[in-house]
Amino acid sequence: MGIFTRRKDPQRLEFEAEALRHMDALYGTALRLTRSDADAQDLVQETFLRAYRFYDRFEPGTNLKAWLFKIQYNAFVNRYRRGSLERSIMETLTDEPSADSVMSVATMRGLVDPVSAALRPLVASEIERALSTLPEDYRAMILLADVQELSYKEIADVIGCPIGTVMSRLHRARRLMQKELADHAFQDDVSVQPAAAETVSLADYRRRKGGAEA
Amino acid sequence: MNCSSMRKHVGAYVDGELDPARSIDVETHVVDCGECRQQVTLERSVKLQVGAALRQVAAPEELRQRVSMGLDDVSRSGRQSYSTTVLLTAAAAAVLLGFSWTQKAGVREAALVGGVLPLFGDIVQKHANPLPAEVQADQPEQVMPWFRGKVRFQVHPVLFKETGVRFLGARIDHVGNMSAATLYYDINGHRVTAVVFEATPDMYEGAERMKIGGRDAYFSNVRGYPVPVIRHGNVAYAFTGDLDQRNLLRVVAGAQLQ
Repeated sequence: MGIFTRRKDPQRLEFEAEALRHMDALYGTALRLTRSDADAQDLVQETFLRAYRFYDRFEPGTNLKAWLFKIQYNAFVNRYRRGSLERSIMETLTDEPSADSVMSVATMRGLVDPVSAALRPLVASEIERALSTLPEDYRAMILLADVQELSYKEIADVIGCPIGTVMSRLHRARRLMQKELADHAFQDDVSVQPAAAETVSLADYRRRKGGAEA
Repeated sequence: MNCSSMRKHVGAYVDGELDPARSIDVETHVVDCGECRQQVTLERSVKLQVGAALRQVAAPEELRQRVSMGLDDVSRSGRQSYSTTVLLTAAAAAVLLGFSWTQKAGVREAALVGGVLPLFGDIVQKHANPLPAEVQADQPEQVMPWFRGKVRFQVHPVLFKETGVRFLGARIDHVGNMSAATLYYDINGHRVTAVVFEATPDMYEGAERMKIGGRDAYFSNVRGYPVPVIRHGNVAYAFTGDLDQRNLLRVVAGAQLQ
């Protein structure tokens, strides 16, 4: 199907060029939040249609991706959470002491090769599994911060909470994630290890993070 | 900074969210503290690996089509309410006149938005406001396996014959709503961006046809950026860069694409 045909108004064109490129990111996040392909597709569909309807409210020059994520997160909360009972999760977990502290050297050992002291590569399926064990609020943190690489300020805006809450939730989310990985990582199965893991440049990541903040 | 304070800040440090003074404290502390140093390495490594592993999801084609149809509905209902207003406020003749004018204007607009062809504007946008590379290597052919399963066509490396070419990295991208691979290069200090994508013939509508290095190509100039696009079956290679038109075309003419 031709993508540059049948389009009359410039706003539609601009929206397709600017917003639809984030579909993979939105779908990937929706999939991990809802844990269902059908629900994830519905959520992404709703997100884009809502964003398109209110596109004139988007402030040019701000981060469109963060804006889309905000719409999606609101849609998610409205659709899947309103009136549900799952609110007890946060309270339970914030009280759990092991979630708060940095990993002990002993726990860390599971992730570090004892001979070379280098970190072992993680298996993609194991990362996926570890994420799925996290409560929803923490899963959202990992998805927005580590996968989508949004800034704390943007995450605070997406979730609708203070930056301090982002920091503490993300901290706990990572502790849980690392513990889960350390307890279960199957480091020997290198066949499904993500190829991209070694080629991602940290210097580049930090530079661009700095750039996004500026 | 002591170890317990480090614990609170390691995440923000790795995220590049600590203020500069605190970052320096962290860096000073880890020089002498092996355990915290390892903690930083671990935090960073897990973050990068989690990010890389979980980014590898592509939206199903079915969803792309659904969204596209949904947008059509929204556009149509918008237009419908507009014409209702017109009907109520203007004479039928004026509506007919207005309608046929819109139809004609629509054809032009499909090809040109603000004087820029969408495809070509999109390529310049990718170059002028580049998104970060997702994968890096010394040579483009080394990153090609990374694209497997992520884009719906086979990505071949784009190799320039010039001396002084550095490959800066690549990322998954989109052109319109088709998947694409964007490759970043530095050619003697000038940034050059190549975008490989699935193309449909209507994308080129309105562009100048030419031959570049003996290959079928299209060309348009967007706000001073020359944008040659070489067609290779249903895959297209679009280029732009901080080079003048003559030099960019020369570089592209000598590029090895398959």
